[in-house]
Amino acid sequence: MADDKEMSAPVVDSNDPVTGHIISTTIGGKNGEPKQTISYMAERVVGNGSFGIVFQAKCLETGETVAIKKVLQDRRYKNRELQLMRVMDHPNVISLKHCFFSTTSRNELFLNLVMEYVPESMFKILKHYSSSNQRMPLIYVKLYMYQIFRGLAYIHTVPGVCHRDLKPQNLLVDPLTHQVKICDFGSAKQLMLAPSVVKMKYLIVHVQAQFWKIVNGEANISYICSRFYRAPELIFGATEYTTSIDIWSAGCVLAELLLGQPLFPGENAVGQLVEIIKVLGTPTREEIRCMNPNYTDFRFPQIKAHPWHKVFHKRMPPEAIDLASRLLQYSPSLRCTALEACAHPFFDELREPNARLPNGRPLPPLFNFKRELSGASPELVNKLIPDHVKRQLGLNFLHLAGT
Amino acid sequence: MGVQCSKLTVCCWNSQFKASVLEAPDVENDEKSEADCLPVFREFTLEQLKNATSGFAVENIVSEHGEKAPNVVYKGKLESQRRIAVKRFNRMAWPDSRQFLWTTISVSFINDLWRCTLPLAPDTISCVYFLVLQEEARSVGLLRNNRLANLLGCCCEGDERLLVAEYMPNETLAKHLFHWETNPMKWAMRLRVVLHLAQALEYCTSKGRALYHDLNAYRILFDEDGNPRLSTFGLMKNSRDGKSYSTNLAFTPPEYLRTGRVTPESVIYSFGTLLLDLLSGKHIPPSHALDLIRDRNLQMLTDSCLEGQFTDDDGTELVPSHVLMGIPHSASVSPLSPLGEACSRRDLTAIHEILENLGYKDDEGVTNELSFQMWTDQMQETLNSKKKGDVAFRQKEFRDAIECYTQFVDAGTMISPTVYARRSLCYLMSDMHQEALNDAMQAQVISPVWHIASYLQAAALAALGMENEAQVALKEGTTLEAKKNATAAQK
Repeated sequence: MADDKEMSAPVVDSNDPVTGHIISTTIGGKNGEPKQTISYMAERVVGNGSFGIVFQAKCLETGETVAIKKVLQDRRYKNRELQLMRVMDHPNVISLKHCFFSTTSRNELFLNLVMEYVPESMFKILKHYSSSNQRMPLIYVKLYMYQIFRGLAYIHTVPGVCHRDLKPQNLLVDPLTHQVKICDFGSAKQLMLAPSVVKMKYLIVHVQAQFWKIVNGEANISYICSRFYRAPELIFGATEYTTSIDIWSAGCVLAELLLGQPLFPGENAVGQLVEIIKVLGTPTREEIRCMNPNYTDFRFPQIKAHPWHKVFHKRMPPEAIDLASRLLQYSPSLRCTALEACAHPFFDELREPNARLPNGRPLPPLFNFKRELSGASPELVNKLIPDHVKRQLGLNFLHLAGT
Repeated sequence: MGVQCSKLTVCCWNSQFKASVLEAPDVENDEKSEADCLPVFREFTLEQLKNATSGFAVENIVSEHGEKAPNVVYKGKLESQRRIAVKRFNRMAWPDSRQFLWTTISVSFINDLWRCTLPLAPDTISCVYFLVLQEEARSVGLLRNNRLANLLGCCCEGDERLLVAEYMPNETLAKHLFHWETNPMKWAMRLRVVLHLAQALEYCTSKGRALYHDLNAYRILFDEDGNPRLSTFGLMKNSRDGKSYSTNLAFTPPEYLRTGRVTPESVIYSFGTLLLDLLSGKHIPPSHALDLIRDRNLQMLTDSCLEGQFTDDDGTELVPSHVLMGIPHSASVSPLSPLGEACSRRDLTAIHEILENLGYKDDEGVTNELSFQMWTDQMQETLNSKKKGDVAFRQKEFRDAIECYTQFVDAGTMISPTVYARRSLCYLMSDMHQEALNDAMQAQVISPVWHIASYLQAAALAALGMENEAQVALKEGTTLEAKKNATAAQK
């Protein structure tokens, strides 16, 4: 992997990576390795945002397709995303192949993160189902959600970070193997600025106003996606949040896979809170204290919680409802951990010995746990590894012991 | 306690908690005393309920629930001055009367009717549907218990369907537990809620109404003494096929998810979720709470407001609910004087004794220029009738006393508030309540700050069934008496 200080040859006007554009860089050259030139041909833009741009590219030397995330680099700081990506190593987390810098004629410095390319995202898959007026088959909901939780369990325990921006756009899916990979660590671990008390009061007043608008049918909701998955304690201005904010987001994704549409489609922070309250009811005094001990002066019309079984369609398995209700709780400490979520009965089907994809192919690897199991109780580990896998592992252990 | 504590109360209560801490220590706890005061279930006219709620005024709405078409609960006051809660069902909830019929077949005879006459005319349907409501309400209306906000009546007129229950002025458990404003609910009070709720459910079960629908923190209300009571509205629910019911509980009993039905056992499940509410102060999926309890992770479950409130002390102090709840209470403002007490209990004998001992002391300063008028014969006659009246009053010959005092009053030469007070009591003794009230009012006209006039009004108003006005008059009497005593002490 290239050292992050290593510079590529300047590429003229590379801030417009359109089809056919070629970027070259050299890797290696340390510890006696031979230097090697790698060239990427930009094929198409697959995403852009305030961070920069992501494009699909082909390595001319190997023919491999990659995704390159190109972000403006502040020369004064190290790139946090790069630091994180370098330590990540998990089947359900996108992997970094290497990285290089590029500059433009305007002397701007860009960091290029070269990552494995996964053609689909959960967002596109959801759109596919909703445009054809179908719901995602439960087996895929289980398969995808399980892998999301496994990826989260890894990033929460091993590098010990919070993703902070988990949403369908950041969940990549391989359409053949149905393997899920969490991507975009651009927001991970960054501290969120806490809204001031004044801002909170403004927020509360507006939540009430918004609520009455909704009651009177005046609300006009335009959707802004990334908010839908934001945990309520962030809306309440919590500064000391935990990895449970990712669990909330995962709960929102689960509900969306089951429903075919976002569960909490708020048009802004205020609308977001209103949407949550419409389902979970007004948070209790104790729940507000759990979310933000500094903010307890919250007055709001008492809205009863909507029955969980009525949130989803009839015949929804009770396990799915139970899992959603455990993930989407106001009190952050009451939300289960990612690993506990993996062990939930909703995913039992995946642990059956003869579990297969609907087309008869094997499931992607689901039980090759590594360090993410380190803090787990024996009971939890026992639940997470199915008997048929334990038997296999036992054989492997024997095999290893023998050699 | 007149309430039997069997299955429910025993299963949730172990000996660690003495019943004493859980009991509200007031005399009204006796099941009979209160149930006896309540009128029997009756049918109201729409007009009566319109009047009671000022024409279903928005200001009288106390709650609104229901998804698309809310059923609204109003507070109101009957002509008898009894405060009531009126639940008005929204017709939009059942846009199609056929569908409504489907939803109401819970009474067996209607069930039979339905089976034999499948294609029913709309008129018949609405007719049947009112019958069902009435039958259901009548059956629930037979229940009388001081752990319930009892059902007093119903109204089925035109398209209107309304239920009338006792009014509970001190809000819901949800408010006190989840959305408290100044003080969180004390542990002792939470325990009392559990006990009273268990007793309420036990009572309903013993009367064959085990299926309480959507038992949740909004179904528990607090009466004027701050004691928790179970709403009777939850005992009435429409059924689609006589067996299955829909539910609006946030956390549904598991068997409902499996079978689409709630059973009497589902009520116990919901009772359990209420225990969790009371312990945690938050909404937690019951399956999750059970995991925490199994892992002995109670710390995570428990409401932080309860910190330091659990002790080994069995808390034998008997603290009234309104004190635990911090609810202003009429009786707690100032203790009643012997006369106030007698009036509030309508203990006419005691009032008589007090008035007799008081004599005409309080007429001082009111009496006219007696010395001059004493010389006239007419005056002497008037005084004689008063004396005769006093003798009859002392001997409790109230009819004679009324006659003599009336002669005195009609003569009009002298004015005495005491005479009016005495005649008022005589009327009360003779069950002439309106006349008694008139005299008590007259006494007040003559002597506006005389506490006895207010007290007698209270007794007369109570006799007339005007409970609220009686309470106001009683308070007024107490205040006036306290003032008078304070002034006397200064002198």
